[in-house]
Amino acid sequence: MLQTIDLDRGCYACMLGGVDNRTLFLTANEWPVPANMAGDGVRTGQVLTLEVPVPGVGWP
Amino acid sequence: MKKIPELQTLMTGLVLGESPRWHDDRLWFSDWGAHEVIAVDLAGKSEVIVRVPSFPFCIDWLPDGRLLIVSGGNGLLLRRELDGSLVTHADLTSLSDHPWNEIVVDGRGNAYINSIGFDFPGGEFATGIIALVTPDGSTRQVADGVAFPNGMVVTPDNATLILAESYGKRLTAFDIAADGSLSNQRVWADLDGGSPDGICLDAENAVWYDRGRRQPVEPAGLGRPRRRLPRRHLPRRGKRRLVRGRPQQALRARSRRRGGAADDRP
Repeated sequence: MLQTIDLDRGCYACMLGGVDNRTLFLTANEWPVPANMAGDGVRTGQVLTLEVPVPGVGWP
Repeated sequence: MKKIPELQTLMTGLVLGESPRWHDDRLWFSDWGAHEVIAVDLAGKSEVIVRVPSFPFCIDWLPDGRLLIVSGGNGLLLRRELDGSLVTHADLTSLSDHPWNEIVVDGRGNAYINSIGFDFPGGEFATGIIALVTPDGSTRQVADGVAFPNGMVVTPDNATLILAESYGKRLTAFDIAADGSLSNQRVWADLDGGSPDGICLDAENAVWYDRGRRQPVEPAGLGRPRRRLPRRHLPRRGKRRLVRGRPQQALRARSRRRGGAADDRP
């Protein structure tokens, strides 16, 4: 392992992008989400960003 | 020691964000709970691009800029035309009856889409497959035997596909042939217990992946004992960790633990 990031909720996916492809985007939320997945007051999902030194490559 | 920058919050109020992609100077992603494909710019201004009555639904783009959406529940690959309408790009139901999950479109316009191979949650576990939809629209299976296939990346030379196997707890690589076929399935990195989901690749051939723990669900009532559920029902919960790793690093670490020399693997 080269680097780790600790989060206060679950990270479901990540992607490099942004200026020079050096921004790491994370989609994170608490689990479980409500059964109907759309209730008010339970929208814990976030998009987080972190600047990183090595740019993203490849697809997507 | 280089100072590590802090996490910033770009957007809140989502139900279940997945499938993030950078495209046309914005971060696009799917909110699987709200059934929306959303694009957000670096200032945090967001726009709902399209509503998708499916679960799950991952996204990527054809080389001509048209958006592809995997309508996971009913096995259709949808295409968003430039006028905003949704049409069926490919029908995958002849390849698998089970939910379809992630998609990556490589630099040649080949779209790889995986099916987890069993109904989730609650279904009996079985391995899944990867399908290929070529630019001319033909569809075929190109890999099987993968344990809950999830995020995928293709290297910049279009020569290697790396797959996150959530239940296999590993990243698996395939060679990509000129016709898009996959071969030489191999372990790219053993994650030693981590269950990867969506992944991405950087210029030092390192992959970012989620290394979250799967914990037993805690019943809602206070004071009740924890109850262990079958693995396929375990939700992800609690603090999570995102990791950046290279295959060499992971393999060396495993080699050391087994008492072998640190450099006896590639």
